[in-house]
Amino acid sequence: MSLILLKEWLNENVVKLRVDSIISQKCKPGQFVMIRVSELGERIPLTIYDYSRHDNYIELIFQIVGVTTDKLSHLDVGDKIMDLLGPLGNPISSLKENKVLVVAGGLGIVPMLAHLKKVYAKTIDGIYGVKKQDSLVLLEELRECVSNLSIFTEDGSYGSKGYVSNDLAVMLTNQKYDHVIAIGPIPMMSAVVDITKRYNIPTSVSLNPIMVDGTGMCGGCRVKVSGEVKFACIDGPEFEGLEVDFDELIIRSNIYTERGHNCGCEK
Amino acid sequence: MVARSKKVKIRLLKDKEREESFSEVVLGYNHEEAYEEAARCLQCKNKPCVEDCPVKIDIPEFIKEIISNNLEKALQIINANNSFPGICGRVCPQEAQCQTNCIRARIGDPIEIGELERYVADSMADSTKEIKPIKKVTDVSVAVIGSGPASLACAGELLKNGINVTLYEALHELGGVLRYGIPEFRLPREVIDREIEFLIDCGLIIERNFLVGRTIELDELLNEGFNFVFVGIGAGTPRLLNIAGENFNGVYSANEFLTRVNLMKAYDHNSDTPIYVGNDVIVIGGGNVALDAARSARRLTKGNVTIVYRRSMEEIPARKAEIQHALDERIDIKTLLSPALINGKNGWALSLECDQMELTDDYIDGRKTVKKSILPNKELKADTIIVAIGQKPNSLIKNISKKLELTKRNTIRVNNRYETSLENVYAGGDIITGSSTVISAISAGRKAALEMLTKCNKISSS
Ligand SMILES: Cc1cc2nc3c(=O)[nH]c(=O)nc-3n(C[C@H](O)[C@H](O)[C@H](O)COP(=O)(O)OP(=O)(O)OC[C@H]3O[C@@H](n4cnc5c(N)ncnc54)[C@H](O)[C@@H]3O)c2cc1C
Ligand SMILES: Cc1cc2nc3c(=O)[nH]c(=O)nc-3n(C[C@H](O)[C@H](O)[C@H](O)COP(=O)(O)OP(=O)(O)OC[C@H]3O[C@@H](n4cnc5c(N)ncnc54)[C@H](O)[C@@H]3O)c2cc1C
Ligand code: SF4
Ligand code: SF4
Ligand code: FES
Repeated sequence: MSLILLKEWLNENVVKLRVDSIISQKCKPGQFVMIRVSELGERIPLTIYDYSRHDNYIELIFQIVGVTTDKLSHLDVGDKIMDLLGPLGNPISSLKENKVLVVAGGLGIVPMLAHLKKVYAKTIDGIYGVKKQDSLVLLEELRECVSNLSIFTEDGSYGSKGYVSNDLAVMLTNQKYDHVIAIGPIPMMSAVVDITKRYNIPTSVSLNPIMVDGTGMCGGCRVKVSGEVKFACIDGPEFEGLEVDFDELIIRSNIYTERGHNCGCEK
Repeated sequence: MVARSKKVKIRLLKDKEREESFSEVVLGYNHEEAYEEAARCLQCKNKPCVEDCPVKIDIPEFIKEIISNNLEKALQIINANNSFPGICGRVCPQEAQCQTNCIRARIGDPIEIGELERYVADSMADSTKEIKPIKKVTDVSVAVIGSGPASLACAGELLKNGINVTLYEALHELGGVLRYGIPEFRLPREVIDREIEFLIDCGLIIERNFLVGRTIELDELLNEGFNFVFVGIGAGTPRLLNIAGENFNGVYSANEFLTRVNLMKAYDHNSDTPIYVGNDVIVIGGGNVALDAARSARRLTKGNVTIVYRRSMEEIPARKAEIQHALDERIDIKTLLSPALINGKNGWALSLECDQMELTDDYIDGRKTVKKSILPNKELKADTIIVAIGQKPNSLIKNISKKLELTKRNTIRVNNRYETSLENVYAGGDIITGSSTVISAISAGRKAALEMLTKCNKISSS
């Protein structure tokens, strides 16, 4: 049981929780936790956004998208998260190249900021895209790490109208980047990689397939990387994006939205 | 009552009642039946049955107590060698162990030793269990990693001897494969809970959601003051087929499928964990895991459930009783088919293409080998495919400690005292043998505990 110490709504759909946990003693940027909030509840993965070894807490930021994230959003300071396992996955590798471009989509901003703690490049440029102005979170934190930031909203309510991939080709033609980091919804990472592939720029991605245990025991999180099957929970979640089979990953991520909870019951 | 050559029939849940329910299928003996079966035992002096039980339970002795209706004594006799009779009575492959050389089998059926063991355990479950006063509590403490049968048995033996034990388990529930692999209709959760509860009553400290190698490292446990560590982390990573189409939706590893069903209770309408079971389920494999997956799927679909196995019916490694249950539950078993390719559309599995195999005259491990025949491929309709072709150690093992010596198969190397390459670190169960059985894991856990006890006596007396 892990006690919630602080709760903050970043917008009407995104919550930040500070949780008392010994995981803080071991975790490194890029790792995640699996949580479960109720009896008969599901286990879901969430990135460790920040942590303090001194004060023994970790911070999680999540968007309410379905059953478990909704249940989690109803917990308050003083409540406990029933199960919290971690830190899982491999820490990200640090980057010391000259010029790095980071591309964040939606809540991909959460793992992205964890990544930025490990990027020591001379210049870091950034692109951040969301659906609409209200969905922009952690903008100040991002600005602190990035020198040139362009922002996109799908409806044009803030920054430029469109998607993070819109100007990418132009940027990559005008500037020489040593490395790109792209984190966001799977179709977004796929779109980014389609472009960086043409320029042959190494592109780190952080993958989020559906997970069950998060410990390498079920194989549900398998993804194909360089033609080989990898388990994202123990071999990732960070991979070389140019090598990832995104088409397969997109399809696998939709399994329960397409055919739903199909066990003969009414759910 | 005159002893008969036929065993007392074991009552089963009706076929119809099984199709939608996860209730236990084997109903077990009642008082009269158990007595009658026990009375068939010849009380052999040389005890061939004991010889073949990996933990050497004094079988004729406990059976004798059933006849005298002294079940408490019977349980004591069993408990002297095995603290998990409710579990083992149900899941041990008795026909390959204690029952193999039962003298009764020479002119009829062997004694149903497992059923009798289970009968004793279940009958004593409700009677107020009094905890044996533990020997003087020592200041020795042991960390046990994992909560499968190996770790539980190790913990049990240590607790009995007054050692302080803390158990670390990665998942949110205890029991290892007993919990996430073996389905409830074979091993009800109350039985696991009850036998673990006993350890808690004996003072076991439990840390769930604790992945050693990530949450804490093995070296730290030793530095934190544990005198010994036992590693019982099982061999939990699924083997995959590595054929085209394996990543289509609808294709599960047996581990994922069974974990969703057993650990996460996806069969329960109130569970948040989803599962997809279509109208044409194919399970690939022929071991206990394949049978468990197929029988679980049967309870989640009204459609077809088929097991596809690459050798012949004679070679199937699963227990005969399980195969009979599967057939009773309208599960089809197709043999001499080896999966070659999964076809799909829009990302979803549609069919499984198999090479047709034929038996050769060669044997490996007592089983006939097969080779590809000249017959054309067979295509079987399948919207759900469950791959149950075995497990191997988790590659996360390398994180546990860099100094732990492994074998080529990634299992932990131990000597005949269950000692690993790290001082005061022991290991047992599937992590040293690869996939094996519950009782051999229990046996290893117990023996490792006894080794630790010997070692600390030596230390304290020197
Ligand atoms: C390594 C990793 C790190 C993540 N970090 C964060 C984070 O920091 N903040 C955040 O808001 N989200 C994060 N996610 C996504 C998050 O796990 C999902 O939003 C969450 O599982 C949704 O669960 P639900 O029950 O609310 O939604 P539902 O839609 O009801 O979930 C249905 C099923 O789909 C799965 N699922 C749905 N969306 C996703 C997704 N995007 N990724 C993986 N599985 C999904 C669920 O686990 C569940 O099995 C991360 C995912 C991974 C794999
Ligand atoms: C579906 C299925 C059916 C089976 N049926 C039978 C049967 O009928 N009869 C029979 O005798 N055998 C059966 N077996 C085999 C039997 O279950 C195993 O041989 C036995 O469970 C092995 O026990 P164990 O203690 O070594 O490991 P496991 O039971 O695998 O337990 C290991 C535990 O350690 C935990 N763990 C792993 N890594 C870590 C870590 N780093 N830190 C903390 N915890 C960790 C795991 O989460 C798990 O709970 C079956 C196996 C399966 C999969
Ligand atoms: S523990 Fe298993 S092998 Fe030993 S007597 Fe009991 S059922 Fe037989
Ligand atoms: S071998 Fe069979 S008959 Fe003989 S003592 Fe053992 S169980 Fe009884
Ligand atoms: S989530 Fe089960 S193996 Fe990765």
